[in-house]
Amino acid sequence: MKPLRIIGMILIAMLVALYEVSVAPFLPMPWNAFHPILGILVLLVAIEKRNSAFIVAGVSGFLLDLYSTGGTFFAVGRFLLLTMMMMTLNAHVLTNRSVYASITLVLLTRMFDWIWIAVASLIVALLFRSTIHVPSLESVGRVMAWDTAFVALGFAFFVFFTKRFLIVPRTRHR
Amino acid sequence: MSRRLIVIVGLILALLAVANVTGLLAPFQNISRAITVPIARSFSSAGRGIGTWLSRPLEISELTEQNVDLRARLDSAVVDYVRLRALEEENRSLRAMLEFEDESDYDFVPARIISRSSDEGRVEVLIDRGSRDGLEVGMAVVAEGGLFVGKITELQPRISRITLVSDEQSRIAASTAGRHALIGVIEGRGNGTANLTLIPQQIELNPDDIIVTAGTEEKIPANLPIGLINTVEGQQTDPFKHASIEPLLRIEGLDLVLVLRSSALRPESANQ
Repeated sequence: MKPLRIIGMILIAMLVALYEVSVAPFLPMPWNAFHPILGILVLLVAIEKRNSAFIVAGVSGFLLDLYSTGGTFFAVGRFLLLTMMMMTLNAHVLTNRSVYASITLVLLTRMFDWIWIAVASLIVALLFRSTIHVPSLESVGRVMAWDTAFVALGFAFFVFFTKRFLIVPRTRHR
Repeated sequence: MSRRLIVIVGLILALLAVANVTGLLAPFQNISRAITVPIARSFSSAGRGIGTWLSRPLEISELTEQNVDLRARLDSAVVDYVRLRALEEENRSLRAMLEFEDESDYDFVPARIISRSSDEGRVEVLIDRGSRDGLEVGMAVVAEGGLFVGKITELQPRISRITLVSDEQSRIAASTAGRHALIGVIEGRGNGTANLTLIPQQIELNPDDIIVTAGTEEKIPANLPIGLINTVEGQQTDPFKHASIEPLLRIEGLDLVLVLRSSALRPESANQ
């Protein structure tokens, strides 16, 4: 990976994480439910940019842990785990490169993220008698709606403006 | 995904978890905060601007209703204001006669809100001041007009977490304006409102009574306005009654706050 690309990815991760902690909470409903980090990770996994996905997961998770006011229990660990899960699903289950596969991937990842927070909350409550706020399913649903729209638009962008998913006519191979 | 990659990421995760729990990450986190706090500050300002712009069309009906209510309250407040001005004048002349020197024991540390909770029930914000500014857990935070915002519940060198009055986990000792005695505890309800609980039956409360801090908590001075009584509930046979409180402060417009720091805790650099 070129150093310039690494710096670019770090900057993108910082901007997106700061958007989630310092801009989104000040917006009214439904705008405040737009949390783009997981969507970006899914798009990076879909276009096979694994290293970039890990950089974005690590940096944005670290910043979320620094500034978030709750419900982000060990975000850096969560995002790295979720990225690994996305890669496994992308390689073995959702193998076709389509907008439907990407949307399914982001929705599964969001649900897994919610389960992770719920389990962590239970463990912390039992062991340390402390609390981690678990978002309601209603609010997760709103976030998922934004995830779907964001991933669909992102995927369409890659299809129309890059050669990433270019369909080569069969005649050229003959 | 290769097994090698899984092992590497797993190891990184384990190391991060250990470093997080043991506090080994703290110096690195402090340096990162020092670098990113100014950016977070600009982002939160931009977020507030966009939020205000986006919510304007939705609020017209709510604002109309609020306007009628506030006009009614203003009428009764005018009467109180005239009476208070007369008392203030009298007080000033009496203080002058006694050569009273008005010395406040508190410094006002201005701080900007850089993030806030988006979870239901939680009404918490992060401010860009921390322990290196002489702040401590439990200190009171007020808005520019002197309204009580909440108290510091978590501290880092450069940032602090403020739990607001309406947060589900917030508990504030309260009194009514002018009473100078504890009458109950304000418990947040998480939806922008709060309840005043554990009010002894003999305490008389009426709608629109002003609720202030009681001053019984170590770092929270008395008489900081919190909210107005909406309704009072409770049977005569109950040992305590409770009341619903409408906080005077609206979190939506909150940008700058002031932390009340005891002047004894003023950092050395501020004294020079």
